[in-house]
Amino acid sequence: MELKKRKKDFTGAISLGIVRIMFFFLVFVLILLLGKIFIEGIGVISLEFLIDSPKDNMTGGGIGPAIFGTIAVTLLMVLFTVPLGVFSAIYLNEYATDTFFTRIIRTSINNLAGVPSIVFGLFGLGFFILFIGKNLDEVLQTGLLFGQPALLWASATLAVLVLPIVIVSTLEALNSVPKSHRDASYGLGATKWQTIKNIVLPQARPGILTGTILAISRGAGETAPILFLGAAFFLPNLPIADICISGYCIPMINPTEQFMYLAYHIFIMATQSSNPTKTLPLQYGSTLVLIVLTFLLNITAIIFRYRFRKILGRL
Amino acid sequence: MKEIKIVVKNLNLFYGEKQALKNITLDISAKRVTAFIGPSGCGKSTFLRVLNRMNDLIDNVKTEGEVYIDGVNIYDRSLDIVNLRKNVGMVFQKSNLFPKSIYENIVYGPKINGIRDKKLLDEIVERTLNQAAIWGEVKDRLNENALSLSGGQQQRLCIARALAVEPEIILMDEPASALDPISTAKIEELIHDLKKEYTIVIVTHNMQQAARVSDQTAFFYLGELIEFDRTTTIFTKPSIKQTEDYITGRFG
Amino acid sequence: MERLLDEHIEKLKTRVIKMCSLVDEQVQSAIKSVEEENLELAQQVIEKDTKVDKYDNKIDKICQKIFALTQPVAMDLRLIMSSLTINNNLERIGDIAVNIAEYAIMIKSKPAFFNQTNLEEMFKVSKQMLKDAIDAYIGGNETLAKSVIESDNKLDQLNFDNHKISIDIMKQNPENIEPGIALLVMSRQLERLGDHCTNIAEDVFFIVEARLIKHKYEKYLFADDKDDKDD
Repeated sequence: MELKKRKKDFTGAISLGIVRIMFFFLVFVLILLLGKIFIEGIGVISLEFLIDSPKDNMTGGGIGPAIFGTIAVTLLMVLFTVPLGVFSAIYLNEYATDTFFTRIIRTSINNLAGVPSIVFGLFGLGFFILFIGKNLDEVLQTGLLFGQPALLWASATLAVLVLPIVIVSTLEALNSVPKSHRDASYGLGATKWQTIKNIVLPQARPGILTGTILAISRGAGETAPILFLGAAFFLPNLPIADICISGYCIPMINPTEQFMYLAYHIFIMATQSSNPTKTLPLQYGSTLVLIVLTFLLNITAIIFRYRFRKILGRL
Repeated sequence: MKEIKIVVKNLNLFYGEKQALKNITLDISAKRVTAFIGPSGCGKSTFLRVLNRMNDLIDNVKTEGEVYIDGVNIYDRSLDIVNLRKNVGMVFQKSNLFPKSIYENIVYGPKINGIRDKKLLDEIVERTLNQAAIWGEVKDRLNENALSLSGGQQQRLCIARALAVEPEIILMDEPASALDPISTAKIEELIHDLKKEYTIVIVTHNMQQAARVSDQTAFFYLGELIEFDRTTTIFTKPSIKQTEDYITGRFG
Repeated sequence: MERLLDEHIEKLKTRVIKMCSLVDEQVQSAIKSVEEENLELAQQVIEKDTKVDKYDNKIDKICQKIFALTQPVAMDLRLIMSSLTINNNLERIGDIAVNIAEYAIMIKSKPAFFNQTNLEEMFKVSKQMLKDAIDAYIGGNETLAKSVIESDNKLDQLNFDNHKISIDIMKQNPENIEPGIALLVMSRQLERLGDHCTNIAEDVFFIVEARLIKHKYEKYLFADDKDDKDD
């Protein structure tokens, strides 16, 4: 037997080298970006900064209301988009037959992701506010309540914007459930819905949560769509209303009010403040807070996903 | 006097244009083991799935003919398929346990059929795990993930899961083909015990297994039923040359 | 399709055929040694028996190997099972040939009354039966097998008649007793030879049609054990 000497794998080594370089470049850029934001912004961070309203024409005070607004809008958006996205995906994947029509729908969903976000803003204005909101006002006789920019419509519009992300993630998650598990369930005498509810969906949960995480990250950082949907330059009060039942009042988010939004706020400070130099540190600080906030919002979803994966034995 | 459990008459099955099963007619006896043998692609697995209408889940499949179980035509339009599958259970080639606990796997069937009483469910779990000859091995870890068991144990668990909905007929599609010889022997022993109470139909590509385990054997080739007779007869003096050629290894 | 089993079966068949021809030769020689009073030939027959035993073992061994390593079914199974029984029968026939040779040496020459017995006829019939049985087995010839089975009756009758004839001869003269008994024993041996040939012939039906017709029950079809459930 002739044992050959190990030959140098040049192609492999070069490819590995290129990949390594790219990876380190990426890490470098990330560190540069986050580092800069952190360094410039950390000085501004304090408890007051996080809670107070802006003062002195945006050159002082804090971003409390903007934080609140971002959280509120994002949460509401998730509430809209996840059920809608998940059930759409379930219908498309499990129930709809593969026809020309459904193929068009799938393509359209994918294409939605490429639509510029400002278009969504216009859509939200035209459809949600001017059409649905106005008609709702007429039907419910509420005057000018729904037919104007509000938290509700901003969340709804963002929900539509991130819908493709949720649908695609859910579709992938549904498809990753092995056919053998479905067969087993049917073989035991389960109906289609029982199989979906008990076997497919639980196994798809991690994938759905991934979609949710992506949706949150996208939605929390959007500025263009909410420009005319309720994001406000400055609001003295938070969009809260008390819901009172026999004397006991609980403060709840009032979705018909306008709101302040971190991403929008940063944009305003950068472009429309009276003194850009003075607001610069505030901008960095706000950006840092936005990043951290997005991260925290995602952490919840990540924790759930971790737990689901563990249950499924994928960990 | 043999009791007949399943009667199949002139069964034809098409995958789109292609005919996968041609004019199959046979009777399956109750509380016996019937084996389907034949080379790959001969239609034996497809035919097995006709018996619990699992082929309905595949697009483009057309089934013609009559299949009677206890006198009822299971391809009648008005038949409750979900109920059919409760009575005709299935064990698959590779274990397809759910990523849940052992306990949850077993009670899945009963639960979707409406049984909620915990005591009753516990009884079902113990009974079926005993029937599957695996109770001793898992009784102390019912809450562990089912996928942590070995291959042979998983298959026995699949059998227990199928038994939990109390079928009268059990269909097995190459249940031991992915297992080592000792696990295979255990499964075969299990089949031997189960046939006292259940009608069993098993598809196997292992002829010796069919010979060991079954009372009657059906030989399929290219979608047709070539010969169907008592196992001893098939393996000592088959009537049709094709059958003899197959079992002596002259083709396939 | 060439199977692994085919190689073994060819080897088995070769050995069986060789055994057949060996034993046939032994019987021919043994009988000849009596007819021609050839004591040397008789001695050769006795010595050649070790070869017969050797082949007996070889055939057993290869059958054992086939059973252990492959799982023969149907035709193959019947062929191998019958190889074992024919082997058995041939080995016994070989022993009969040796016995005849031994008696040939003992009586040294044919007694005067030899022609009064049926032995001459029995020699002829048994040689033919053996030859036919072997041909029937090798050729799968059921007609020939049938004729062997029928001839056995004739042989039995001849043997039965020999009893009376020999006893009468022995009564005539005490000198006749020793050779008389030897010839009687020879007659019995030939009758048993006929039985073994019949066994071989019956196996032909087993191989070809999987019919067991042992013990002269010709309509005895292949029957399953009582272990099998109902039907």
